[in-house]
Amino acid sequence: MDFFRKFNFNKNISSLILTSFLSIIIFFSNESSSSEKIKGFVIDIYSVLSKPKVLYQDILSIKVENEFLSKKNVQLSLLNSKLINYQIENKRLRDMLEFKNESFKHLSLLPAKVVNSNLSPSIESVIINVGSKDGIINNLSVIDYNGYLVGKIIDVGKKNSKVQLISDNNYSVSIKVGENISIGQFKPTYGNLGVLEGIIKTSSISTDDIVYTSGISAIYPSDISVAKIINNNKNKNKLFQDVAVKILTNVNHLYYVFVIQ
Amino acid sequence: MFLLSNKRINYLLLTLLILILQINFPSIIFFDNYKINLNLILVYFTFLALINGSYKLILYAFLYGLIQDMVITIDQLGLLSFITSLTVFLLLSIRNYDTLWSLKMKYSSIFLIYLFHFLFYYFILYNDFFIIIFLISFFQAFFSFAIFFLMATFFIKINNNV
Repeated sequence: MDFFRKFNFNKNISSLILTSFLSIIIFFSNESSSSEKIKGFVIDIYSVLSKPKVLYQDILSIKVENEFLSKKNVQLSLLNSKLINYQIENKRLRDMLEFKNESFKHLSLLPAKVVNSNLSPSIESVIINVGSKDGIINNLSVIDYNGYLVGKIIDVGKKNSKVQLISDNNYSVSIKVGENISIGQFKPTYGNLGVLEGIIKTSSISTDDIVYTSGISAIYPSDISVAKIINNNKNKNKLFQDVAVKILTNVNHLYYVFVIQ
Repeated sequence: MFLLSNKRINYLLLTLLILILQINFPSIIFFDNYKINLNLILVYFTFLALINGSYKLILYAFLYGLIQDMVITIDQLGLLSFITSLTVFLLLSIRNYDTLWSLKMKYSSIFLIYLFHFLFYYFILYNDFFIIIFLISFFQAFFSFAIFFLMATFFIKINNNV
């Protein structure tokens, strides 16, 4: 009886202890399959609830988007004509060097809309409106309309998926950079900044060089733009160069992305 | 019994409405692409804690935090649910000092709890410099408190039992 009276008196504390205990259990069962299923289900429900926001964002952004896409279209047309010339030139040079024809697999891009996460502004993840029904599976890479790397799929619901952003501090990707194609590892640090690890001192890299995915990992295709070098130092006491980079994609303004299938 | 269930349905509908509002409310661009949003759910929990004061609020806050965990976080599943339930526990604790604290003291405590909540929150969500996290947390707490203050002044009066 005394126990129950004390329990009633400390209901708040008991509830806090219970929820803390549950939080710890959930924290350590993050990777379980049932947790993955629940996450997918919650993401699907969340995106249904956030439909009004997507609708009014579409209405508000349609004019700006149209202008932007028109400009982009002109730019791409110009680039396309340039690339056609390059292709002809490349073919001629390959023929000259008697290169064998390589079977080049074209990447399949699936466009997706970002369902903005307004429960809190986050630089860890975003939710996109494609899911397992569209053939989405975990670990597919995601790029923006400029072709810059945005992240990878980590949770899949039926109609929606969660993307781990490149700015999340648990993220890393194998990259290549410089004239002599040095292989290293990109890791984000603060905001839209990051570092390259494992770039040997002999590799010639300079500010404004673009960092691309190396294609070594099974997740990311090669040659996707990741970041731009903003600073590099060669410290005598270190084996590798200190390279600071800026992430190319703007993780705070993602509206449309493409999933590479 | 009928009245009680009616009350519960009203609470449920109000919670759902505020959740939908929270999800669909536009974010405010703070500076250099950093965004803050009005945390209506936290304000709602504050009112419920001060008016109702039931321990069940901690469990509801836990559920809301869990939804946030599943939608937002990557590897830290369970942390936001812990923070949200801890924040509501602290808000509920204000009721213990109902007859001791003046309204000003209660408001100061609420602001400090908000600040604590958002500091903890953004330490998990943002990997950025401390000053940026502090500024975002401060303004987020300020805006959330401003909504609470306006609501408490004009619509839902908070008792001053001192």
